[in-house]
Order: sequence, then structure tokens, then C-alpha cells
Amino acid sequence: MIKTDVLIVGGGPAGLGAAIETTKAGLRTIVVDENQRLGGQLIKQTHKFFGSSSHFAGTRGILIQDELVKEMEKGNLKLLEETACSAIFDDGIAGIYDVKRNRFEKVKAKRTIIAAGASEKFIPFRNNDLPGIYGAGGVQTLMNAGGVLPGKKILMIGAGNIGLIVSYQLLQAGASVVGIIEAAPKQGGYEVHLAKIKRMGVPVLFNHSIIAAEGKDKVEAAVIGEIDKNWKFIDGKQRRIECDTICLAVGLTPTSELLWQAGVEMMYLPALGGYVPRHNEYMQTNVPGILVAGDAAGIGEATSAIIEGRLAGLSAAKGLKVKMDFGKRYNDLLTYLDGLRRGSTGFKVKAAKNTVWNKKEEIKGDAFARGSKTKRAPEPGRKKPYIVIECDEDIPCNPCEASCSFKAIEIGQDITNPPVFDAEKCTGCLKCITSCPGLAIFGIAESGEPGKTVISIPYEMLPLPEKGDKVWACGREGEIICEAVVHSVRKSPNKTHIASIIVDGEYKNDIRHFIPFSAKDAVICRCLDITCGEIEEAISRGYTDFEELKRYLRVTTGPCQGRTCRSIIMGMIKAGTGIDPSKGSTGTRRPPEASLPFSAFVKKGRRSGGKNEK
Amino acid sequence: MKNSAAVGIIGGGISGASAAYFLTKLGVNDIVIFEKSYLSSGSTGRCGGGIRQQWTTPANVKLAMRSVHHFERYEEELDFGFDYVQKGYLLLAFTDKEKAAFAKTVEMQKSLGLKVDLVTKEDAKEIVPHLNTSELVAASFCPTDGLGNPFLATYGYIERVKEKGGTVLNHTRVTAIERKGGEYLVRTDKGDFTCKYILNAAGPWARDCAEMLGYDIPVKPERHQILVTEPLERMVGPMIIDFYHGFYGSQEKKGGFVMGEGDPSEPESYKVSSHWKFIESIARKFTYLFPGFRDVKILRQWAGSYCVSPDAQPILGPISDNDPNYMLSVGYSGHGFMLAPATGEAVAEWIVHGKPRTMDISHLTMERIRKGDFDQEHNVV
Repeated sequence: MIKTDVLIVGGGPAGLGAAIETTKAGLRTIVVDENQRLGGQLIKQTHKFFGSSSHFAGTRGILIQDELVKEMEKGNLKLLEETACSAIFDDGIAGIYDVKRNRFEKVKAKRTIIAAGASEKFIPFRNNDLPGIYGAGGVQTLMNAGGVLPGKKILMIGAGNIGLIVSYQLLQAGASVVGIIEAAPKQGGYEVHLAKIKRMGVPVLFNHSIIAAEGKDKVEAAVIGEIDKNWKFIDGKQRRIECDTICLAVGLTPTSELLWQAGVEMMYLPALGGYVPRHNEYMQTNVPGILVAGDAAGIGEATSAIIEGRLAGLSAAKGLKVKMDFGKRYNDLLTYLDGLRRGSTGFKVKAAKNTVWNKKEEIKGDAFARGSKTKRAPEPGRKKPYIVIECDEDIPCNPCEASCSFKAIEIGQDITNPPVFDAEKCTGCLKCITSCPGLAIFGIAESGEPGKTVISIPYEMLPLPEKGDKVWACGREGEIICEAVVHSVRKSPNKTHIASIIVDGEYKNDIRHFIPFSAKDAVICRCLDITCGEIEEAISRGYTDFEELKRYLRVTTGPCQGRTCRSIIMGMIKAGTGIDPSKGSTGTRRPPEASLPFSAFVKKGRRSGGKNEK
Repeated sequence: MKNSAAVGIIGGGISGASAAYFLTKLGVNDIVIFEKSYLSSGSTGRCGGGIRQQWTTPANVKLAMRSVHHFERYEEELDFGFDYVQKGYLLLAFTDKEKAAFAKTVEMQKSLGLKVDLVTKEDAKEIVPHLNTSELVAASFCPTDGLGNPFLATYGYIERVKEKGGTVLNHTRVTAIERKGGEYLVRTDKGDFTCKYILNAAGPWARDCAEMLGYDIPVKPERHQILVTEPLERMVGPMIIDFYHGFYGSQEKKGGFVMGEGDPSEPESYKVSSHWKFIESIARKFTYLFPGFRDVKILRQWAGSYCVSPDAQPILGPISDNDPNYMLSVGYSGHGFMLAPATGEAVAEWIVHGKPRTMDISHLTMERIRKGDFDQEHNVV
């Protein structure tokens, strides 16, 4: 058994940030990283970073890990590359697996910092298990770290920053990007990243989504379709695009298996990518001795991950009674972190982190206010419906103001002004929802059932859903957040109808759309090829507990242990039963975190088993 | 909501489910199953899935043979698959002493009609070519032993019980049991129920449910750990048991190797967490027995509870003469799944006819416990 002061799981920006602080504090530190090279996602980032110039702005990501390693006190450091942390056992002992030597070892650390990063989300579509379909992060690893191009003709799904950046990098590497399709009407990433792609001649199709992959043994083409403002595929607007690779850039979720194993309290926060560990601003979890940092603590960006890592490292040092002025160090780091979390994206992270930290702090410009302004916000506990206007731009447009008989929305003389909403004047009639040409106004109301909220969504597609229908509730990126039930449909003469769905109150700032339920043959559990239809059927037969479903269908028992499908299945249970499955068991995460061979546990040269073992 | 039943069954595992199924076959459909979590959440949902008839006590052999009789008919009778395969169990002997014990046991088993043989190490190698037989002395092999999926077997019974009108209350915890005018008042966190009969099929929690009426029954929960590998092409048919090193393992129908061990130092507890000692120890044993599978990958380890009785045989029937309608189906010591069809049938007959008709199980009741007249089962991992 290896004994150390600090074990850091993950040698990405967060893990390296932590190691700087722990090694400088004189603590014996072991950093394990399953990859061949340290740096986590940094080693693939060939673009220049935003941020503050005092913290690597303008530096290319690939160069940052060297800078970080330089800062460490090497005498106290043991870097173990190609070594994965396989388990945190019930007595706190960590199991690590050295891939090269095929050896399993136990580590007893006084403090363990989990900086395991993130994994990629995927989306259900027909044949989404064909070879040739990759996550964008996987493509980046193959290409930028491994020097291997995944294919020659790539279709990118998603125009967020990752989709845009990876497309650019594919072009740099000599591949052809046949197109970027984006379900939203606008790119999710920065204008500058989009402009780079566009000027190199890559078609970018907004309002498009993928319907199916085609091919016999591997991807030969993708069928995509145009979707309307309600994210519904428009008949006759499908097309087939030849490609050999489909690259998905549809979001990240924290890698949390070890945290579950360690007994850390987990909470579900879509703004941070899914299940995140409860922690405080000093990165300590509820389990003594276990700290977190970086994407594993909630999806963010690399610079904040470094800062969180440093905070975690400091907290480990403080817990182990190292003598230093913690007050000033903490304060500097927390102030900088706060600075990184301003702006419309940053605020969401900050608000979500405040929830994680259990910190009650008024945040101005929170998610529902966005670009438009709020004069008087709805009072907490308000029963009647109110609206959320998500109109970020200065569009010359004022039907919302005109539609409101109660002067709850003001735009004024200059119709490019953003709308200003006054909740105290709003009666909750929701007339403005049907009036908005941009379909940017949503209604929010308590359902009467505790914890449940009714979200009213402008809806212009046929057939109209009916009360009681099950649907996929989606976020602003078209990502499925959970399943939902249609509460009511209000028809409007101008054909912008109002469809209201019942969702968990915690998602009220995230869900802005829904799509008809289920592509029956879409694969949900990709390890074991279990489809949407099979899971729905099992739920309807009464297997409504996650654990029963796991035993009945074997979902989540494959090599990924549910990493990609667990949350989708939970959403399906909720839609099928109305019961929130996250209130019950979500399945036990068991060692090993990723599969490893028996031979890793058996010392070479030593006779294994045999009669002497009795 | 329903607040009474002819039979209240505590525990939604295989034992309770089987008893409920056989009750409905005898015409008793007014059944409520109280399950504190989800169906199969206790031992059943964590079980390795072996179905074995090679026991050292005649009572266990007879129960197991009767169970195999039912398992062979299960899929057709219930119209529900449970991944059943009959590829045998190969029990390994590494010493002459073990071989002698096996020989005696095989003789007893044969006298009860079981098709079983003591085989040489060459025979063993032929039955399982991948097995390291270099130090093997002998083995016993029964070809009708096999494997099944305990969760699916439970769910199949339950689906048929529900069709007949039986009620399953998941996430319903029994908190107290009181005697009330010749019947029992079962208090749960979802309300009270009046039941004429109670069947304690609570597995690891059986002792707690007996205590609710003031009885102290000699069973205790004990963690047993287990793991599964990545699925491979099917190469090993039988379940292998090695009492010498404390190992059992098989390749299930879907291709994964499932294996566990007995750890004599495991203390009494309800815990089902995972420990590194297990994974290290079983890796040594498995790679010794199957050197060719050294690089097979471990997918996941987990754990479940045995409900251990003093002689490793089940305790069936009334809890005492004073409470003849409080039935036990407990103490399986790790073998509840494989014995469940027979024990379910027996307790169902006990409730309906006042005593089991198909089999004589008078030597598996509380009476032997009170007298201390134990027939120790030795073939336990």
C-alpha cells in the first residue's frame, strides 16, 4: 500500500493547479492520470485562450500545462501517467491501475482531490451506434494528441465553442468538414470562432438536426433535417449528406463515478452539466478528506479549473496543518474566480455554484432576465403565472408591448429597446407568448403540485400535442433534459399556440422546448444495445424503479456503467411514472471505475492462487 | 387502499415471489407483498445465479432437485425467460481428504436419484478445457445443475402473481407486527394491514422481522462480494466451485464471468459495500484456476448479504406453536435463489393445507433449532 499526503486524480488543469499548491506547501503529492501525457484537455487545445492576461490569456492551451508543471515543487511530486484511479473503496483507500505495467495498487492518502474532468454527452438518433460516430473531445484526442485523423469527410453536430473549435482544428489537420449543423437558429459559441470556420468555406446550417446515420458497417452518410422554430423537423426538408465521420459536440457532463463511490453527496444541476458533487467554495466535499476541482465539480472552462484546483490544493494544505497565510491566498483566488464568472454565460455557472456551495447571494442578471430587463421581479412563492422574456438583441419589434393590456411589458419609443418586464403588473394571462414573433416569451407557473412547475411554450407545429402526452423536454441547446407531460394546449387564432408542460421546478430556467416522445429504435444503452422502445416497454410493464430496470434489461451494466445513458433513463422513468427517480436510488457506482484485467492484481513472478493461498 | 390480505409476505425477493406464485396456483390470490425498497433489492438482486443440487445434506439435495424440476418447466409455464442454462456444476477436490468426502457425498446424492459422478482430473479437464487441473485430485459433476437469472426469475413470478390479483407494495417498510384477534396487524410506513398469515421472506432482515413478534431466530446477515467481467464468447459451461480456496465462478448466458468467494473473516453486518481485499484475492484465485483468462477485464464488483443459519440449511414453516400462522422462509445461507421454487411450493402448501404435501421438510423447521439437532451443510462458499 502506497502512503502519501495527497492523491490527485486527474492531471488536467484542475489537478495540476492543485498539485502546484500541495507541492509548494511541502506535501507529498501523487498525481495519477490515465492518459499518456499530463494536461487533460489542455494538450488538445491548439487555440488561444480568453481570460485575464495574468492567467495565461493569449497563450495556447497546449503550452499551459508546461507552465503549470514548471510552478510545482518537484521534490514532493510523483507524477503517474497512464495510471487510472479505479476505485475509492469503503474505507477510503483508493485503487489505482498502472496501465503500462498492468498493476493494481492501493493508495492511502490523507487528502484525495478528485479532478477527473468531464465526459461527453451524446444524443439519440437512428443508428447512433455505428462505427464512425465520435464525440468532439474524442476527435480532438485522436487528432491533436494522437496525431490520427478519425476520417476524411466530417459532419459536425453542434456549433457551440467546442464544435466550432474542433471543426477549425479538423480543417487545420487537412480533413474536410462537410458541414456544421446546429439545431438552434444561431451558434452557441463565440462569433469569432464561427467567423473563422465560415471564411474557410464550411457550410453552417442552423435550424438543422440529425435524424439518422446511414451505412452498412460504418458511417457512410448522415440524414439531417431542417427544423422549425419549435425544433420540429419540417416535412420535405430532409437531406442526405455523405460523410465518413459524424462528430458530436453536444455538451459535457462531469465525471463523477469516483465521487459517488466515495459517498459524496451529489446534486443534479443542468447548468453544471448534470450530477455534481456538493462542495463548498474551498472545494471540500461532505466526505472528510475528499476534495474536488475543475469539470468534475461542475462543467466550466479551463482557467476556472486551474483556480479551483489551486483552491483545493490550498484546502488540503490547510487541513493538514501546513503553516501559511491562507486568508490572502484564498481571497485572491476566489476574487479572480468570481471575475471569470460574470456575463451571461458566467452568471449561470455562478448561480449554479452558489446552489452547490449552499451560498445565499443575490445575483443580478440571473438566467431568466438575460438581455431583456426586469423592473420588478416576481415575488417568491407567486402562484399565478408570470413570463420570462429571452430577447437578447436589439430587434426592432414590439408586439409584446402592444399585446399587454396591463402595461407589464415596456419598450418605449425606440422599438429596438429591449423589453422591460414588470412582474407586479403581469396578471399571468400569457397573451404576450402568442404575440412574440421571436417565440422568445415563456410562461412559468407553479403547478399546484409541490416542486412542479408548468412551463408554457409558444408552439407552431402540427399535430398539436394533447394533454397528457409524453414529450422530451429540451433546453436551449436542444438537449434533452428530461421527459415531461403536456399539461394543456391553448390554441390561438394567429397559430402560435401555447403548449404547457409540467417539469421539475429546478429546470424552470433551463427547459424551453420539447420534442415528441421517442424514436423507438434509438439506442439508449449503447454498451448493450438497449433501445428507447425496450426501456419504454419495461417501464410500462411496471419496472419503474431504476434498480429494477437495471436488473430487468441490464441497462447501465456495460463497460461504461451508465455514464452516457443513466440520466436519459432517469428522465424516461420520470415521464413514465411521474415519480422523480433522482429522489430514490440512481444505481450504485461500483469499482472499478473503468474495466481492468485480473492480471493487474497478480504480481509477476509470484505464483498466483494455489494451495498456499488457503 | 387495500388494508387486509389473507397472506402478507414480507420481502420482494425470490423466496417471497415464489411463495406468492405457488399460493396463486393453489387458489390463494389475496396476497400482499411488502417490499421496503424495489423488487429483488435484497440478496436476490445481488445473487450469482447458480442452481446446484450437489449438497451434503439430504434435505438440501431434495429441495434442490425439486427446484430444478420446477426451473426446467419455468419458462414454459410462466411464459417468461430467465436465461436458464443447464451446463452442470463442477466441484473441485484438491486433497485426498476432499476426494474421500466427495465420494461419500456423491453416494448419498445418487441414492436420492441425482445424476452425479465423481470424476477424474482428466475428465474434469475434458468438461472444462480452460481449467488448470495441474494440482486437481478429483471433481464431482452434475450435468443438470445450471445457471439462471435470479432477478428475471423473481419478476416472472411477480408478473403472474399480479395477473391473479396479488398486490406488490414497493418502497413499503414493515415497522411492526402485532397479534390481533387470531390475525396479525402489520404496520408499515404506508399504513396498517390485517393479515391472516404472515410469511417472513425478508432475507438478511429476517431476524428483525421475527423480533417484531418477540422471537429471536438464529440467522444473521453477512456480506459476500462478487464481480462480473466483460462478456466473452461462451467457453466455460459449468459453474466451478472450489471449496479449498473458497471460490465459485461461472460464465453466465450473456458471456460475462461472474464469481465470488467466501471470506471467513467477514463479520456480521448489513453492509453491501465493496472492498479491495476481495478484488485482489479473487484475482489470485481466478488466474490460478484459469491462467488463460489473466487478461479478461473486470467490469464491476458488488456485494450482497447472505442470511446465514446455524447449519447452512433453510428454516421453513411456523415460527412457533404459539404462532402457527407466522411462517418462515429464511436462513438460506446464500442459496435462496436455487432453492426458491421448492421452498415457495412448500410454504404455500403449509399455508393452504396446514402442512407441505409434495415434500417432507419436517427436519427443516424451527424444531431442529430448538433441539440443537443440526445437520451441517458443508458445501458452502
